[in-house]
Amino acid sequence: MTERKEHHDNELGLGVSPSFAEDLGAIFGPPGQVPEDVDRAVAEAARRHLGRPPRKLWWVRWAVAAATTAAAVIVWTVGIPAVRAPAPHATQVAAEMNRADIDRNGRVDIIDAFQLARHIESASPTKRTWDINGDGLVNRDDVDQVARAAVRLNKGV
Amino acid sequence: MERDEDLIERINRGQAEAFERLYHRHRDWVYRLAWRFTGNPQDALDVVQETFVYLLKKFPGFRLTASMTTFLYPVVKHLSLNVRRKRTGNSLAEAAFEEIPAPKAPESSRAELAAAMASLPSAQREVVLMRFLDGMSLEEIATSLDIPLGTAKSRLHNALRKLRDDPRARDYFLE
Repeated sequence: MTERKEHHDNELGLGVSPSFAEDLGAIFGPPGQVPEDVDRAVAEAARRHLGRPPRKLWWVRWAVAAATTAAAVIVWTVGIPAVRAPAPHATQVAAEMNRADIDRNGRVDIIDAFQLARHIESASPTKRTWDINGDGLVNRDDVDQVARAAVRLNKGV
Repeated sequence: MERDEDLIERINRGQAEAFERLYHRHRDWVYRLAWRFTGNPQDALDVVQETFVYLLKKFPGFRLTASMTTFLYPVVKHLSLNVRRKRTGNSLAEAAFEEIPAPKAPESSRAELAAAMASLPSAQREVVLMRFLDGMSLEEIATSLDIPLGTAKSRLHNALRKLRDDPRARDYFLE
């Protein structure tokens, strides 16, 4: 019994013998124990629910993966000059870069990809210019496009 | 022993094993309470499972602002009343006003205590059980029942006074 509970009992001026709680348990307690199948069902539910990545944070996980990929691409392209992909047409690239500059700070970087992902996740209104790949939708494919634009080393522009 | 708050922190980080620990710590308490409200073992087991699934869905992001028993008490009561309502066909309000099931008749001497408890008004009986069977403090009782602390105190005081004056329960009280 905690001090606080003892204090209130004393305050109430009624001392109760320990057998009171024990006998109440015998009278009001349930028959039997909780069976193992209930334990297993709860454990399984916990594994399923807690094992799933939270929906709200998908963009964070995506962003980490994208940043890692971007870093790997940079290392790969800098390290193996002979294998670089040919630069696309300069005008096309410039237009795409302009649309991909989500935060309008004059450069396209991974932050633009993060911002677009957050806009999509929060279901806030999107701009037509954010349809980077031109398929009529603003979705994760456009986020991928922004990420690719962010890491593209375009010597032709 | 790991505190409930620490287990909750780990559960928020996705550790299912921490949830299982929390479950096993409070499982029997929830079962006992659910049994008291439903009066039916199978219904009580259903309530146990529903209670912890309800708690599970609060993660991640759950913050414990009171004790676990204070948090769980109204959840168990509400789920139990739902089960009783479905079983009896009463509305939820009617189920809430139904008395807590009368104690089962035990053998020998405890029968007298059971009879004395059965004669208490249900609101007073509930407070006695929360205090002495569920091990809750008066503050926890008041918060769980959403009543002022003074009301919880007076219910307990009046219940214990009745039991003390009842020859069937008098022997449980110290001079």
